[in-house]
Amino acid sequence: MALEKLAVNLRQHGYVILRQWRPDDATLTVGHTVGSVVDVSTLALSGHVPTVQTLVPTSRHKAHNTVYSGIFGLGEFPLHTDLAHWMVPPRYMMLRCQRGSQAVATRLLAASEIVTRVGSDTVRQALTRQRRVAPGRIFCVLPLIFSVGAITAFRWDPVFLLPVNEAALHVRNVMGDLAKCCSKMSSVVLAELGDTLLVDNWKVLHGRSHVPNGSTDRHLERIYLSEVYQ
Amino acid sequence: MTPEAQAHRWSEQTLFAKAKLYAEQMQRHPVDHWEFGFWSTLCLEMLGRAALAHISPILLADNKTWENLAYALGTTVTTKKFSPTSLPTRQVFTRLGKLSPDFSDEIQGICAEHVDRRNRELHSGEFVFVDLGSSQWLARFYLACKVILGTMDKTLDDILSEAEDAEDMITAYRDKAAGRVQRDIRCHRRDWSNKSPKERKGAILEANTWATRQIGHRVKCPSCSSQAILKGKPAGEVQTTVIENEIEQRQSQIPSSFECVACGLKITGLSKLSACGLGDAFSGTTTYTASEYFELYTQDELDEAVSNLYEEDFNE
Repeated sequence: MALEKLAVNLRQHGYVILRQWRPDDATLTVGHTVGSVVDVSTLALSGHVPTVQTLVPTSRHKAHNTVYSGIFGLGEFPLHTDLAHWMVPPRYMMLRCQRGSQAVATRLLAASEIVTRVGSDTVRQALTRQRRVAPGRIFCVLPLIFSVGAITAFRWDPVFLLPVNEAALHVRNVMGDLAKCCSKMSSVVLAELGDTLLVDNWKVLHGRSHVPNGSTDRHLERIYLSEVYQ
Repeated sequence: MTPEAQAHRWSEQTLFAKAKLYAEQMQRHPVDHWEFGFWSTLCLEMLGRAALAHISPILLADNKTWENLAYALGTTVTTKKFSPTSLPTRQVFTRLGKLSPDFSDEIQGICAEHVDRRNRELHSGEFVFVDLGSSQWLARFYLACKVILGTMDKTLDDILSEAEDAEDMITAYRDKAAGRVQRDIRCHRRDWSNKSPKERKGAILEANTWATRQIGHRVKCPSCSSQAILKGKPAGEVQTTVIENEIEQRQSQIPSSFECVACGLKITGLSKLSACGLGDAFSGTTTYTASEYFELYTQDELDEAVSNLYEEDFNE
């Protein structure tokens, strides 16, 4: 797919799927072609997060509770936006399949659906804070809806963000039911080497279905982009 | 947009989010409850700080020490025991006054008054809001919030659930202020017409003489039509032009006060001045000689130097 078309589709739908796209190229190389890769290793506060992250299903007891696997294990990952607890989360997330599984789906839901369900006033008023901060860092109030220049963005994480007011509690309650019954949710399976999913992390939430036995060798790579070339 | 992992305590985003939270706390209580007033003061402070951060977070740094400036710039400060210190709240509003044309002296005054209530509440045994009628402060508080929000391209809707009610209060407050000004003008006009023609002639002459010596914008008094002075607050860029041997600087002025010595009419505050047609911005011009502008020697200093060089004829 040409880059211009990729950017247009991304703007229209909030995500783009590219099947078996450049399967022989490294994720970082593909990322640099598509946009500006975020060097997470320098931005992340712990310094242990690489720029290209490896995502493999992990049992709860084998992972730390600072990551989703340590909390949900092989179970379903709830809908969220990545790094929602950052002051400004990365704009785009790219997932590249290294070894896929037909049995595991990535769920996608546009943030606009949540705004419709909950009500725009409530979402605008919803305030949260980080669950925890690194030593020497500060807690601060993080609104669910935030602006970056002229762009209105959305953040949500049921674990890493804690509600600070009633509006945020209400959003949390609605989100709890939404995943089970929302017809607007999409499911994407990354099954083949090179299957690539590019998501607008400011506009679309994502989650993961549970990982059944036999699919625990699923292997994805993830990078973040601050912009996608037009 | 480059992602940012860590929050900065002086960023517009964190400060404004806090202002929203405090506004929400305020609105949990009835208007006549002391906590409504108390939370309103904290909300106003956060809004003021967010507005300054909207221009630049560095404006919030207490510049007594360079480390605060470095912290505001996002630099890691390695000085031991460093704790970032920001400006006292009053200075936040003073700076906003100098940087935002819409943040008039009147609005600054409203904010200073409210900050004073907060200080008395927090630093003394006084129970400030328990008996303070909302008519004394609420409309002015909403007006100040509206102006401050406007500097960040936001509206009352962004912090209040019943923004319409607040707007109604602001309108009523402005109408009341306008009504008071019109009454003042009518009173002074009546007193003026009661003066004898001789008294009026003398007062006009005195006013004309006075006005030529004052710094300000000469306007016609709405009460007695004599020459009066309108003073303003500088707003916008200074435009500098060189004309022959002089340097002229022009800058827009937002009207802040009016005085007429002929009939004694005085009006203070942009909203009141606007109510009687004196609210339009005007241009203030200052002219300097080259030596004044560049702070070279004055003419007196040059004359003194020349006289020191001169040697008197002397029959020695």
